[in-house]
Amino acid sequence: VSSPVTFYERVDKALKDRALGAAMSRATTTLMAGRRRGFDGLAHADEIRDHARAIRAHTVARLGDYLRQFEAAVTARGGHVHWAETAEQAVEIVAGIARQHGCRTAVKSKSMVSEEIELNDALEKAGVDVLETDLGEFIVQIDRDHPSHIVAPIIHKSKEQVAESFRTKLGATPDDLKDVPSMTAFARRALRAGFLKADMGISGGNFGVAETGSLCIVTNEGNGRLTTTLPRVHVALMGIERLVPTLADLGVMLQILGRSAMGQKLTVYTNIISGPRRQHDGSGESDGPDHFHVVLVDNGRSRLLGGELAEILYCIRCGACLNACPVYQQVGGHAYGSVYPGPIGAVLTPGLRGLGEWSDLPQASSLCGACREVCPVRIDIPRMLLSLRDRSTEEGETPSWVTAGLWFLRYLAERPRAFRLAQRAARVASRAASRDGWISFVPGHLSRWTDRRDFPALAPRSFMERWEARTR
Amino acid sequence: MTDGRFNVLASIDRQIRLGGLPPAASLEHPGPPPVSDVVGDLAARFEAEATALAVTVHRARGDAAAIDTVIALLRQRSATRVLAWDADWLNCPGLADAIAGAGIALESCWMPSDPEARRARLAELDPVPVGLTGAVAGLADTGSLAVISAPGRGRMASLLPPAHIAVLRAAQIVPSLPHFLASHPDAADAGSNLVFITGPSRTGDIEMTLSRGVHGPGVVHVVVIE
Repeated sequence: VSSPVTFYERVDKALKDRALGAAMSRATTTLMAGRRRGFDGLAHADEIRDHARAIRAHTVARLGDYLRQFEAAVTARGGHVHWAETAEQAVEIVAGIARQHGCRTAVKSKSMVSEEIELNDALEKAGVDVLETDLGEFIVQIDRDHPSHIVAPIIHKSKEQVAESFRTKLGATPDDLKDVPSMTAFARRALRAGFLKADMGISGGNFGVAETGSLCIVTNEGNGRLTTTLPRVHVALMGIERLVPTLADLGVMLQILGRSAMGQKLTVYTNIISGPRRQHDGSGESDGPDHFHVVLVDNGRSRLLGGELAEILYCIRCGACLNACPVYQQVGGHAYGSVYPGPIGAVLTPGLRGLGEWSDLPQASSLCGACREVCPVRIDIPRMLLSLRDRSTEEGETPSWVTAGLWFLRYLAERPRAFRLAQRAARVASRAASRDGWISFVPGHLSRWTDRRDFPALAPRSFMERWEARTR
Repeated sequence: MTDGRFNVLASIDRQIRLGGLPPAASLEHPGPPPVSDVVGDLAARFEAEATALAVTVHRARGDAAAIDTVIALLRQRSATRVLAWDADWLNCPGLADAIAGAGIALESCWMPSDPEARRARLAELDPVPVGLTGAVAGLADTGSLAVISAPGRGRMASLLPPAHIAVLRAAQIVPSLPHFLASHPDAADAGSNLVFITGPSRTGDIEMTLSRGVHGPGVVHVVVIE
């Protein structure tokens, strides 16, 4: 997804886009209000969140053991487990499964891991047609766009934009487009046709249950169930960290996931799959896939273990930190330029892929702590943003003008006479540049501050001068 | 892909040995989850929660009343076919026979493995207007149905048609999801699919505007037999 356009250029573009601003404001306000209502009705909410955090911490600390247990349990129920170290291995595994079962068409329910490994492009190259079936992801697919929220992928689009895509790309009639429910019904018909003929269903996995080898997929639309029921082959992609030890532990997670994401007590379809349909000699379960594969994707996750970013592996992908973040609320998901946007993305993306081209993301935060406040498992995102900023300074990825500025400041601070001289010079400059006590333009790199905010003019007398006057 | 397995597990074990996990009071498993009791009439709470989600709840006094309700609902939707679970699993003795007696054909969820036969069978079932199932439990505090698929209890009956009718006995209603999981420890092993259905299919993807029935049933009726 990375582009030659810089983070700051994307932010500027987003801030100038009034339609985007309106869409982001409407969506994040609705989602945050929903979340508050959801938790208001939950007795012992704090206790449940603490409990959920403890489950995640415990599981991540013993991840190797639980993965082995999960693999054994999936296998015992007739499923297959595959392990992918990298994105390339993961897509190769999925393409291999498609070849093995002779699959030419696939329906897909929402999976952030599949975005991360860029699965659709790879499958198209391997001759498999992929149809995104989550309504938002379907619209992203026909628009050749990218999701801008991990739960609500087209949070950045208006209904007029969607209607235009349906009209020009799918031949929708004015009747199909007269309101949002009609547009949804139109999409249902288009997607149902895809479901009825697909050979393969591809899903993500919200959780894996180590004890039972079960995979939990939550959707509101029901596309997660259709994807994992109608086609004869089901392939699930899941990050290696997404396990919980037992079904009872899963119950704890489910109580907070729907509430945090959309303010729902439970997501409409909480789907728990344990192996392919069970059949013996043509009798047994009537429907469901004959083949069930789980692909466990590492792609940089295991390297986070044992380090200061390990806590990001507790994340259950509810999206609450995005909705709560004042930066995300303003700029939307695309400005981040990464698959995972918002506060979680600002930690996860440099964590998985290295600071390199992602060194700006940890700066996309005011460190206000709203993300930590709403996180259902209380992940300390600001702590990790700070440690990434530290690391980026140590790795020398700070712009040279900042380094030079800090060197100059230190030079002055060690030389009292030079410091006072510089103060006086700054005061003269400040007086010339300010109006009514505020400076609204500074040339050079510091204009990045004054482009968006005024800076207070320097006081007529410095602290040291006043102190000396008092003690004289 | 044994290499992938070996390398991923080796990397995990090595990194965990390096230590430095985030601050936590304890890394032990926290034990059984906090469970709060739902006080009062469970069926009433179930009805209130489900109704708030746009599920229509019908309270029926006895099997005969439930049968009348289901047949009336099927007629209301002009159903000549219904995608249904086997009679034994409908939570209401005599219901399947009564439906057949009313001239409505009961279709099973049977799916062949052969790709072409499977597509043909799906094309045949897709127009069926109503699905009919029992349920293993109702969850009072969320208004959810707990549905297990197993022989005679297909997944598609609660999924493929635009309307779903579920029959539940009032005694099957438990306070909450944690209560259900504690009282059904074999829930994941009873069949390949356990699903909690909480209201009709919905989406808010376009401008956060609620639309029902995007993929799953947009209409859900629950008949609670007391």
